[in-house]
Amino acid sequence: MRHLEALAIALVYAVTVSLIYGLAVRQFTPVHQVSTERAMAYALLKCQTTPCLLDTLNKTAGISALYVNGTPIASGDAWVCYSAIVYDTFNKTVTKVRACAKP
Amino acid sequence: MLGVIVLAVTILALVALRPTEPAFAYERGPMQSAQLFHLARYCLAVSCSNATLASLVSSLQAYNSTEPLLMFPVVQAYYRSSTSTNRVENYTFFTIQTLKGYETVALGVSAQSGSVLNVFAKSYRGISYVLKNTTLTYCHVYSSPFFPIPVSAPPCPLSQPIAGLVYCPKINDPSGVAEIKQIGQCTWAVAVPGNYTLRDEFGIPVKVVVKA
Repeated sequence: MRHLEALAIALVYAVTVSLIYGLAVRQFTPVHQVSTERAMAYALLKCQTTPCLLDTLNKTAGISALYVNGTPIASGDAWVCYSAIVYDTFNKTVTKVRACAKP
Repeated sequence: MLGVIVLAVTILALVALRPTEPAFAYERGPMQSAQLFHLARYCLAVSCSNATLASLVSSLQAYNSTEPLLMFPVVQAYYRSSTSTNRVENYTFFTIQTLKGYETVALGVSAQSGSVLNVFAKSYRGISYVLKNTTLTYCHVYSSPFFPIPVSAPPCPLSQPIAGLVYCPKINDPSGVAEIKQIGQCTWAVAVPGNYTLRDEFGIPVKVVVKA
């Protein structure tokens, strides 16, 4: 009976810890994805060339993965992604840039 | 013992209630506004017209169907320009359908030159120029329902009533003939050989109209 009781207490402990850990991890996703969206908006306002936009995005902590025209230039966890189309005034090019937030 | 079992079952039930995917909502307003401003600046840099703007918006909406641009529908887009004796203004307006209804995203660009202060000669790369000194007020106004309207902003001379973020871009002369010096937030002292076109940091032409 004591073994069963100890097992039940251990189960309660394990489930509680995993629940709290899960809740704590979930807090980061909205923060990172909003910061990624805002970083993308800021970079689009600041830049009119692809190198400028990538340089600005690279300085954002919440971004884990970056793709240029589908090619990864910084690969990591891609949880929530946002894309932008860069209309380069100086080189007359159109580039797809995708930035992803980590979980 | 019974209490522990009840607690364990309760916590297990709580865990089961948790969604398997994280709960988040995509934020899209600020990024779409920025994307439209970015597109509008490109349009102004490549000699904008209503047809050019419509074509660019159409291409952006096509990308939106395959890429996570997360755009609200763009219902209308149009370009306006006005030129007076000493001021050149360019506007792009976008009507987007947000959750609140129809809202406007607008970019206004204004270049206003003053009267000629003095005239001097300059030799550049073996060619002599007569440069006219004048002042230039140049600014962009970014108006979006997703951007805050600042309490105080540098004055930007626009004939259309657009309230929004005022930005004073850097100005340069690709040919190197003109002389440019910033003297205020959105004000420059420029020396140009008659009516002249400078460029801002986004590649948009900045027309300096020199009054006789």
